[in-house]
Amino acid sequence: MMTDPTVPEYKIRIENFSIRYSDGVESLRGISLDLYACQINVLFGPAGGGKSTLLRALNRLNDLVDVEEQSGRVLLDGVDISAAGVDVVALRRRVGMVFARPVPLPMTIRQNLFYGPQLAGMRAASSLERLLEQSLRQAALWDEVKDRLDEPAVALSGGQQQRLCLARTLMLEPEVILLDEPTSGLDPISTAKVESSLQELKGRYTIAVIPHSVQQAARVADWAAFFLQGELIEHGPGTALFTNPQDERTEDYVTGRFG
Amino acid sequence: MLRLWWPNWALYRCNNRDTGIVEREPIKRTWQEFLIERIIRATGVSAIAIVGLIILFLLREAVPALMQVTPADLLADRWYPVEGYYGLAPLILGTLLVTVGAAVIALPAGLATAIFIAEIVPRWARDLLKPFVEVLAGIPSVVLGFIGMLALAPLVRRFAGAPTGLTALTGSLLLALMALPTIVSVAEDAIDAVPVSYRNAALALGATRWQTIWRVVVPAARTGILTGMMLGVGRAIGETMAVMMVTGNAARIVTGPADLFLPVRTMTATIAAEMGEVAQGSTHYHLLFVIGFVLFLISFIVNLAASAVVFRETRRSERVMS
Amino acid sequence: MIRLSRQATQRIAFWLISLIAGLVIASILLIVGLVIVQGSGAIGWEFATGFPREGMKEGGILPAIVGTLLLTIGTAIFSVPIGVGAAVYLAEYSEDNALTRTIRIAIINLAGIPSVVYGLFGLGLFVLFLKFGTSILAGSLTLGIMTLPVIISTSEQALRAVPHSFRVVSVSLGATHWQTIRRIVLPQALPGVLTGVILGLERAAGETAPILFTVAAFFLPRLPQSVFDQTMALPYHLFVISTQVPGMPIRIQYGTALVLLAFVLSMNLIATLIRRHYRERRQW
Repeated sequence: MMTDPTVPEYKIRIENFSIRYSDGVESLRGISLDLYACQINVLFGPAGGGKSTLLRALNRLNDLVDVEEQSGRVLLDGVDISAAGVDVVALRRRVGMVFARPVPLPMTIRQNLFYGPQLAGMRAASSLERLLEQSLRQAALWDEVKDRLDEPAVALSGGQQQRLCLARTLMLEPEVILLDEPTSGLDPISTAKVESSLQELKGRYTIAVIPHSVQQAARVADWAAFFLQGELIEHGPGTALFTNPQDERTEDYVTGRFG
Repeated sequence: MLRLWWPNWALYRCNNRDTGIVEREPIKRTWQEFLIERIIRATGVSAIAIVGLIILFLLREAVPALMQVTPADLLADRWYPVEGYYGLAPLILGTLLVTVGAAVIALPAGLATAIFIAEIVPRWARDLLKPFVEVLAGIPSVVLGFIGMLALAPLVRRFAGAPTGLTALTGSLLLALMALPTIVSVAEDAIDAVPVSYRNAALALGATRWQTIWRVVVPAARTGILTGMMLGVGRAIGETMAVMMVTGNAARIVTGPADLFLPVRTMTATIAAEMGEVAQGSTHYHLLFVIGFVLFLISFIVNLAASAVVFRETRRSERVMS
Repeated sequence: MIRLSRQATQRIAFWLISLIAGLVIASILLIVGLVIVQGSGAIGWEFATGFPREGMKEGGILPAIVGTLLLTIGTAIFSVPIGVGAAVYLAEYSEDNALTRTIRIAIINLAGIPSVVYGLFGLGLFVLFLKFGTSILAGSLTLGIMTLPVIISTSEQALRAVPHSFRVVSVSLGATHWQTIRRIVLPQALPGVLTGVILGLERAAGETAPILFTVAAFFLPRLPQSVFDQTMALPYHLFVISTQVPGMPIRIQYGTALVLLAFVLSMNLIATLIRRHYRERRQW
């Protein structure tokens, strides 16, 4: 029985997007994909498939590396963000990112959280504090750190650091949150906390996540896209894709025959 | 950590992917940022401008001499500018003798000390000895010259039975001491950077520790060792004060190694000693700038050669990697 | 011909190497020890705060100490902003192109130029062409240019040692490139930059050849009044009293050498302490 959910509204539309790095490590060929608003969009597949590259194209972190060739369009609310002349600073405030390894900046917890909003010009202490509490609660970290906000962020455990990074991204009040294997280094309890945070956050944000395992992909995916060697193999609703994949390669991967 | 005041050769191996941030498109910036980035770029380019200025102003003061003196005069074997003898040969040979003497002492001693620190003593002693040797690099050359005059020269006179202790040999010994920290520091880094797996493989094949060091580790580190030696000797050529204070400063033609026990005069010492007394604008004055320009060229060539070694090695290792 | 066993060869080689290394280390100890032992007798309040008297054969070396301090500060004023700026350019802005390679070759070249040639250059450009005369200004500029390559290369290493991930995170949080440098990279690299700056200034403070024709005075009965004045300086003073003045008491010569050595080596010590202190406290 296959009940196609009505296709939700898309937030990001990727049209025939190709990219190649000058050192040829990873590349993407002709990707067309919609990421839906207020959904958890999962990008998964074996390593080197181009998932991270695609994620970094969504907030232009690709600008930091040598891109040799790029074509196609990436539309955020209908505006092409891959074009020259885009205000990438404003873009990165709308499209936040959490990385695989937690990277607390070398300052206190509070300074870490204030970093983004202060750069954006937010000065009023009252609104910063309100935003701080709200972000930490959303990242399920408030109770653990509320009394130690002025300690160095590196003093936190790995799981706490990663939730701090999520909270730090939420401080930007972004529209889209990108997560690149956010739980790859975490213990199961911290992983569960991050995953449940994501479930709560999807009510308000568009989420694109690269999971660190097929199991996690199946657990969290509202929509899932399977990438293999720089190509998009299959895209569909999570339940359908994991229980009844249409492509043989997808099936082989989700059932554990390779990868 | 090193007391590095020579450039970091390893940076040639960096590529932009994991270092600085390269913006592909100009992003919206405030005018302050635009201004700051312009200033930073200007400071970067200033290094080129300064080299240009140095060449320009050395030549500006040197060229008039070449109008007044023939090449044959310059190559003659007598330097006595007051009487119109402008031969640079004694000075060039003096620098050569002192430098070669220093290299003969410093190269083996530097390599031995580097091997000692990297391979023979335990780790804690290395962390103590390396900064200690590098302290030597911090001793001002005028202090070394002073000690050389008071302590080393009498020893040389007694040992060599020479009429004076202010000889080329005294200069060579001091210069060797000054070249040592550079050689030891760079060579020790290179030896230390040889992977442990090389050593283990050699030892597993039944080599003794010494055979491993001499046949495996030192050859593997030869680029760094060579770079250190070139930089150390390059430093020795340009050294001024210590040499001037201990070599006796007699501008005579060097005929052979026996002259090590006689006073000589180097190019650097000639500039330092005579610039204060010469009439500005005279042929003699301009000639001192000619000597300075020759020294500039020598250092340029030595340093370029040292960097070329690094460049070549980098390209080869990159080929192996890809 | 006797063939040595491999063990015997090793023993001889290790003995020889240890002997040479021991000689090198002993000679350093000897030099520093000699200056300290012989020089400490001359050190006293009057020596540090008095003017030279009786043709410099009596009294103190205050003008030389003050002159070296002034020259060191002047060197820093000029070389620190340009040196750190150039390091930021190389570490953060430069791309791998012909311009960057030319800059690097220029810096390598600057690092190798003999100090007496810097003196000639300073004489030609600052003293004569720009008509600063033999002055603190000309001497500081000359020493500053000589110090640039040290400051640039050590600062660049310090900047590059800051983890790349900090830069990526900062940019992903909406920082511009310059904001990332100012708020994250520079503060983190500061101890390393400071170390490099001190090491560069240490070298400038001990140099004689570059100041011979640009600033140094044989003897001045007063302290310099402006940047266009000449000044005495410790390294040049040591050179003068040890070679140019006959009958100079050996005590004063060693005392001057000790003050210079202490000045330079304490800068070295400060740099080492800064480095150690921050390495222990570093959060990455």
